[in-house]
Amino acid sequence: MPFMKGKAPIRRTIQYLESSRLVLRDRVKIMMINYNVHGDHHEGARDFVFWHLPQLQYKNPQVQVTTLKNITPTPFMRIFFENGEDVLVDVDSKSRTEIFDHIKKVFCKSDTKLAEEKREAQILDNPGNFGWGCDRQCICEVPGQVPCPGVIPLPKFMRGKYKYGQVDE
Amino acid sequence: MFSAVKSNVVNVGRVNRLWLPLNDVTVTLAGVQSVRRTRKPLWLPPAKSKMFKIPPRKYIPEEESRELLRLYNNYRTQMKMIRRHLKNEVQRTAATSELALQQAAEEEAEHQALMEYNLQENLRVAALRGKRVQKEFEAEMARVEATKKYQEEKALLAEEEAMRIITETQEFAKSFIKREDLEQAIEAAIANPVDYNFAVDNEGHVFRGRLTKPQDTDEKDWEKLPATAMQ
Repeated sequence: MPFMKGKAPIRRTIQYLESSRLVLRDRVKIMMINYNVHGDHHEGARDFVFWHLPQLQYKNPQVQVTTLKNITPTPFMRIFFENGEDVLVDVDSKSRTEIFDHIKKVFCKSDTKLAEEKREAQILDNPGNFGWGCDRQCICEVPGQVPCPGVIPLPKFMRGKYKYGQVDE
Repeated sequence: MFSAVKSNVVNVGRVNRLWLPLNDVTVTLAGVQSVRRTRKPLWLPPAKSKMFKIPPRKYIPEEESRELLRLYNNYRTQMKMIRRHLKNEVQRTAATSELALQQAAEEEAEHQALMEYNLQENLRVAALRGKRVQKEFEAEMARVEATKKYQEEKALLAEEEAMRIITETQEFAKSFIKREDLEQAIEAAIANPVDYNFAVDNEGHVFRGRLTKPQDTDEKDWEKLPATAMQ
């Protein structure tokens, strides 16, 4: 199988994207990151964008993530919340791991919370439900219930056209 | 068409259907729809024919009624159970429940704490950045100073060079032939011809003059080229 195209195409693999722990909190809506293409003190920001931005967007499809290049002399991030409030994060001369840790601590759901949510999602599945995404598509599949009217016509007393009288037109 | 009488007839999909008490009947009289109620209005007293009528009392055997009651009680208990359980669930997970409010308050507090932490981080990084910018500025100034000094030195050297050339030329200018001394200089030149001819042999001896021969002087008096003289 040939090599994937591009620089560090591992960033595009599902395994890499799924393994990220950067799930932003519910109140974070927009994330803007400002950095320059050249400059030593921008290197951390550049690396963070290169390695972790795809993961961030993958895990948070409803959050708008934008990058703005070569506008300001120092790199920074601006995060907007639900209530319109915004917060600045200074990343001047910080390394990629430092930025990652800071973002994880301040703006992402903690690991315990993620585990809890995963557990809750499993519990909420009511085995009695039927329909899409459940064990049974329709109640007619269950033995003891009324069989599917598409297969066996319903008795007359259950059908609307007989219950509400013959139609006179 | 709207009738003045309150009608229990509604038009459902181009067909007239009865809305309430099924005993009513629509009657069309001369194109005007009216309603004849089949049931006696409640405010009328009972008819004379019904004066001595005893309505039959329903008889249910005791065992049957007990069984019915048992069944009904069971059913009602079960329904109450389900309803109460669901109500509790709703209350428990409602947005305004105590737990939810507490969680919301906790989240707010956590958010505030994190924002505070972020602020502190920003201040710390700002201090570092200040230092870095200061250092860069100082480095820039030093570079500028060094360049200025270098330029100054260069200017000084150029000046010295210029002075040297001027003095040399001045010295040289002293030996220029002036107009008054021209004839004298010409006569002196004619009287002292300069002979540029010379010959050189393998050992590096130089014999100056067009007509000099090696035999004219002794070997030890022969002029040697500076390079061979060193050997």
